[in-house]
Amino acid sequence: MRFDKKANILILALLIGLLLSLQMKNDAKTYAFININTVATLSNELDATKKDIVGLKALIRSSGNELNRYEMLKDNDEDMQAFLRDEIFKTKAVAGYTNVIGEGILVRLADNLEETQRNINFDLVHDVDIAMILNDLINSGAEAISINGKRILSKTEIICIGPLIRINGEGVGAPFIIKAIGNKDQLFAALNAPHTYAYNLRESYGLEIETMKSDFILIPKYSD
Amino acid sequence: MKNRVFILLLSITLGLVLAFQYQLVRDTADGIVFSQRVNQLTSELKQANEEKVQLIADLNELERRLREYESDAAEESVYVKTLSDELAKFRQMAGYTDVKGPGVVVVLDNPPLENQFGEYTNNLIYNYEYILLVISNLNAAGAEAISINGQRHTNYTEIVPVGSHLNINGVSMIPPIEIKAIGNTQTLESVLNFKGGAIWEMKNLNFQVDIRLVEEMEIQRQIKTFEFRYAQPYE
Repeated sequence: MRFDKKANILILALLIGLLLSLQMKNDAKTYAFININTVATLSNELDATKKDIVGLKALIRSSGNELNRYEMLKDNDEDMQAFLRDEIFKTKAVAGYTNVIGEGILVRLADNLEETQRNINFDLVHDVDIAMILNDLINSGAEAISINGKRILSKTEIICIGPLIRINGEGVGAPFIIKAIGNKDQLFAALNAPHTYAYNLRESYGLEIETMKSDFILIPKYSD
Repeated sequence: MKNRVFILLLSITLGLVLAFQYQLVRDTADGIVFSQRVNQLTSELKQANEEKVQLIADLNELERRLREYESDAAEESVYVKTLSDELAKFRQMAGYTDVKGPGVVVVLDNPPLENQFGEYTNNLIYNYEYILLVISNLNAAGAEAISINGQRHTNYTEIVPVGSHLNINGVSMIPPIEIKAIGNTQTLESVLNFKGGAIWEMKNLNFQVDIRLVEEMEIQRQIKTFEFRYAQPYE
């Protein structure tokens, strides 16, 4: 019996010694401890850089073409002028300083005017609602957007100023008429597909949102 | 009795060591896969960055030659000069040029891990309306150029959650989100620090916000060119 116990202790002690030495050998110096965030960050960064490279290549191609055209035109002043005017018009259009026409949608966005007995804030159109709807439209390929005749550009602010919303430095009140040019079906879906932001505003908060497709939408240029 | 206590202690130690061992082996096994992946990603990223730097240099060279042609032509006639000045102006408005100036850098990040509740409530990716609000606020303060993680904010910039990241200008990114804006630093700062504003709300929700004023910074041009497909511009 005494012998048994001694043997037990011996075996245990051996095991511990073995495991301890294994543990020490298994020193983690050779492995870097990396969490999953590092991998995600890196692969995102890589993805972004690759997309940038694709964009840069396209830009270099178009600049090369432009350069070739310049070389052909440089001796002829009139051609040069025509070329520059053409470029100005194109750039101006992209910057939002020309009127545009095309197919798209019309949206009427208004406060919930019924008596609802709940917090008044749930019944109103807020600046963030408009910002989200515009963002959804841009994501669905909107090429030009206006609200109550004010062209929406990257520098446009959409800010609550009490009963109005400030857009391009001027107050705009409900109902908001949003016009957007782009693929009309996609734009329509951006506001009417289930669980889009606009859908939730209409179904859960009872705001008035009507969308209409049209083949002929006119959007004015940006004016200061 | 003494022996039994001894064996008990030994068994506990043994159990602990075994558990540690198991834990360590499991962690490092994952770690090996991760570290290989990371090494691979880092080297790919390095290559991609080198290529990008090279391409940007090429592009700058091309643009320099283009500007040279323009200024040559402009020297010959005043009208061409007016035209090329106007073109430069609209290029800048469309976001096709790098811009420099004083401004603010805002870094928005998710709350520290111990303050996150659930997957959606405290994740910037699913609360991206705050990014829209911050940009709107910056615009209200007269920001002249804005970029988000290096992507220029243009008329066609979307901010959209896709799975576990945000797509901005079609490029996917995860927090931290760095927003740069050029403009009057005083106005930009005060609009951001406005009590009850978007940043204030974010701080209340434990989001990590860092606002820095910068005397001189650069905001990159947009790298994609934009073409209308449905809209027809006219004067």
